[in-house]
Amino acid sequence: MKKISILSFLSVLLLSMSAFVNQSADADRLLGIWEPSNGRARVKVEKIGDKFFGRIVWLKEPKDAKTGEPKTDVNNPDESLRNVPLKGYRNLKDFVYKGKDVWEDGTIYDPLNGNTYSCTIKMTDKNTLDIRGYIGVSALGRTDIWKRLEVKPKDKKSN
Amino acid sequence: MRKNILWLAILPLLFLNACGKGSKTQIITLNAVDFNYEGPLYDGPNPSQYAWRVDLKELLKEEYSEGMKIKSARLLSAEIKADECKDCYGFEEINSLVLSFASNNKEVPMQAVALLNPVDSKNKTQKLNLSKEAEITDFLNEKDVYLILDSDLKSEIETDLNLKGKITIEVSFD
Repeated sequence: MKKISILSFLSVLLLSMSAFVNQSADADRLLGIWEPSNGRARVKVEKIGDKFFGRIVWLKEPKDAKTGEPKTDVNNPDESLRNVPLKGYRNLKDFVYKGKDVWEDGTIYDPLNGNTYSCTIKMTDKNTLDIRGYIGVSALGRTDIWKRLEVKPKDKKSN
Repeated sequence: MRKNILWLAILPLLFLNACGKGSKTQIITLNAVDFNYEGPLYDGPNPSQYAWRVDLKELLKEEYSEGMKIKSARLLSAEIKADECKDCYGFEEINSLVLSFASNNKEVPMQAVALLNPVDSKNKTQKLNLSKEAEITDFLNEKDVYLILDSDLKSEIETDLNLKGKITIEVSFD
């Protein structure tokens, strides 16, 4: 009787461990480089702790047309941060995987107007994301479609 | 009537005294925050993260009491140094530095707290300019905090880049 209890306990433990591993692998499918529909930027999604963040790694027009200098976050509501370079800027922040190809609880920042919106990410296939930004309720928002870019990792120099 | 006026004068003083009573301030310093970038690295922005296990007992020592919470926290300074070894890359390869705090708690979103743009490569230590609006109190009440340093590289680097941070924070608690 005792043997059966231990066996059932171990089975439950193994099942939950395997579910956890699967959940984590599912969540990490968001990692990679993505391009919004306007093609003006590329965003690399990375993981910090348990959350997902996206930062701008490429801009079609990286320099300010007036000054010729690299663009900075001139519309940031925090004036002391307006000199942060746009290239490298984290415009997707704090996303948590909720299962069923959905990441929530995050925000998306629009450097064109300095506004931050609540945001939900839905992966419709492995290379396509529906990025929905909204204020208040998700119904009052706008969805943009982002496509995955395949980028080869840089080779490690052999010593 | 006179008694009432007296109470009106005394009550605010009593209230102010109660609010201020017992509130202590301490400065904590994280001396060796390692930001390691594993090469080869692309030109442009590269992030490095340092996982900080916030141990109030260790930080506040004899001031610590079980279950205590930090009432307020303020970043006082953030300094970054480069490795001083002979063949190591230094600040001459870096355009800008941005320091952010992040946590695992969904109620505590990432915040950029300091930056330096451009970096002055002549300086051995880079003192970052602090955000005037960043609010870091909630991070000090988290178990795990991630300090992220984004270094914008001028060109590709074939080897690792190692930077060290010194972060000073003022905390208030009861």
